[in-house]
Amino acid sequence: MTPPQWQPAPGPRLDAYRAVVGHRAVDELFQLASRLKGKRVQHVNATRTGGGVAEILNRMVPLLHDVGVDATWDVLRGEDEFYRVTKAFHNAIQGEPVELTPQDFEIFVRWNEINAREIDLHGDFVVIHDPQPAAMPFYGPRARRTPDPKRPIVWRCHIDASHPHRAVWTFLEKWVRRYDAALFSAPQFAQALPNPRFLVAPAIDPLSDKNRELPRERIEAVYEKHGVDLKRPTLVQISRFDRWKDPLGVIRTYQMVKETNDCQLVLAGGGATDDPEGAAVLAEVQEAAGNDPDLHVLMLPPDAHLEVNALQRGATIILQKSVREGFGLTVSEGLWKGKPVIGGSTGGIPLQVLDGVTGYLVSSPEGAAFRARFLLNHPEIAAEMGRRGVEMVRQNFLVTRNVRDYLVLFLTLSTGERHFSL
Amino acid sequence: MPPAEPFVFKKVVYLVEVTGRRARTLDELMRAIATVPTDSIGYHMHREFLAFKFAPIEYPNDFALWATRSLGDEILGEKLASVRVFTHRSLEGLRLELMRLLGEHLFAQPEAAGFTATPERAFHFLMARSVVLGCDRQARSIEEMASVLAEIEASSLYFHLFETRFRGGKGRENDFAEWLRHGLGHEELAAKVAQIDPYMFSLEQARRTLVRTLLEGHPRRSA
Repeated sequence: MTPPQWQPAPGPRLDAYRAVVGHRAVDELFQLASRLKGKRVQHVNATRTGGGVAEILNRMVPLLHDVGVDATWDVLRGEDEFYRVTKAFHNAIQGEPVELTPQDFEIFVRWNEINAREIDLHGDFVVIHDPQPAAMPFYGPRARRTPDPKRPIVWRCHIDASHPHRAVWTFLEKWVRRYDAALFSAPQFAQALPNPRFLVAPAIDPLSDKNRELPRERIEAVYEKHGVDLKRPTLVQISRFDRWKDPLGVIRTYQMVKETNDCQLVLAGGGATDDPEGAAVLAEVQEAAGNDPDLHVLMLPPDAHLEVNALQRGATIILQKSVREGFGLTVSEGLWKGKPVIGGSTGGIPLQVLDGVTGYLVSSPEGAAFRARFLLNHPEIAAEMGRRGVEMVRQNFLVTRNVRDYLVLFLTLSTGERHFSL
Repeated sequence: MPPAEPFVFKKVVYLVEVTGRRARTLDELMRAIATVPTDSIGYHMHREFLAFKFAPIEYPNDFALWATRSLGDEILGEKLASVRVFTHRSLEGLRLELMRLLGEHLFAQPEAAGFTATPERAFHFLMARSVVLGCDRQARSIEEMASVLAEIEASSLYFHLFETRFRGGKGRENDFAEWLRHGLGHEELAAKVAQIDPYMFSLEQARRTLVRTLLEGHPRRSA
């Protein structure tokens, strides 16, 4: 049975982005797409809500439509056993030692086979996101037996694959190497593969509820709702409750800053349907937070985009103290709000945080606390970093650039040319 | 005499590709430079100029930046920063120059062979696939060229100053100088524009320098 086709939520049309990125950047997308009119681009991932991949696809698919590409988005289905295994795979790819049984690998293959029968991979270009559906193109009625450059299938890896658990990577690799191309967020994530590998940084949508301008009253209302004092310095980390985001390290950071500077901490995040560990991590965080009235742990629903936006806009400093990170879109979100960002020196964060320019890169709670104290004592430097951050994101990490990269990818794969003119 | 063909402004859009080669030592760097596609060498010599910057470019190419910052070899960084890319007629010639420079440095400074970058600071050899797009702008005269140059997007400046220099495998002047010389027959002005060294400027600085050179060198203007 084929599930009903996803329809994008109403959102701004591509022309609305001219005010943000300029006419030329938008016209460029129409130019590039002129050779792809009517082509079918099919994205497949594991979840419709929660997490950066779902956010990217929610906006990129409608924008591809706006330039004349027939883009669709399908989501895997699975049961708890599948999500348990794919979460373990996710952790293993990011380098965590995991224990998986032969049955776990069978579960992965079985659910990929089930989804391959249910989701028709009909696209002229198919983009499979992350490990969960990685085996799908090789099962089902359209099972890919041999490479087909006329209908390229691309694997898009959003996670930090620089030090993967070898057993899990070896298991996945036998499918990944059969794709026509693979996309990574940073060069160090790109594993040795025989297929062409490209770098495509993820991006944020400047006009989405999570990133658009907000009136001051809206920010005040959100802070008041959660009992956070907007007039006092506030450190904010927005992320899933996930150990890779080091929420306990963030609490330690806040406690060290608090010894010398008045401040509050907001640690806010949601869950994703494909992340069964979130509740356990949240419980650990709540226990570590104790009864400190200035420490606010907020479990937000996946659609709390305006609240996240308001929390970031009211922040003095944004933290993203991850110890392993695919890209960390919350960093670009924070920079886009004109805030300095203190981020873990890992994964895609150094691509966004230019150390000492748009924020600071750190490797420990002590490092984060030192930089936070410095910025709290030098608000003029924090403000200048914030101004640079906005430009950094405008030039590099907005959804229009992401659409452009995909259009160039589809063009280069369909022509087989490395360099060409339109 | 028939009117000259107009100068057609173009720009380039990149998609970055991973070669799979990486280096943590000078020996590894030299071996990789010897074997990577020349596209990769061109990419690392020019990438800095297309990237958005908050401050003037400190090192004009990725090799110089990496040698200094990641390997701690400041002497090599200075040597690599001084490579005059466009004195070479092809990227293959540039490849040989880089290998010669690295080889001589290792001979003169044998301790440099022991410098090792951390895994996080390895040099990743990348290259680009590119699409050339029209900018919908043309120039038929020096005044028009100056006028368009004043407001054309930076990626067009980049394309005409850097990207086309090795196209076709032969060293050539930048596109603006080529058109002034062969399209308009302004030898003197073409020579001045050809002398502008894009490695000494950010793209915005290069834009201002080009416009000033064109307006100052225009015979009607100076008459």
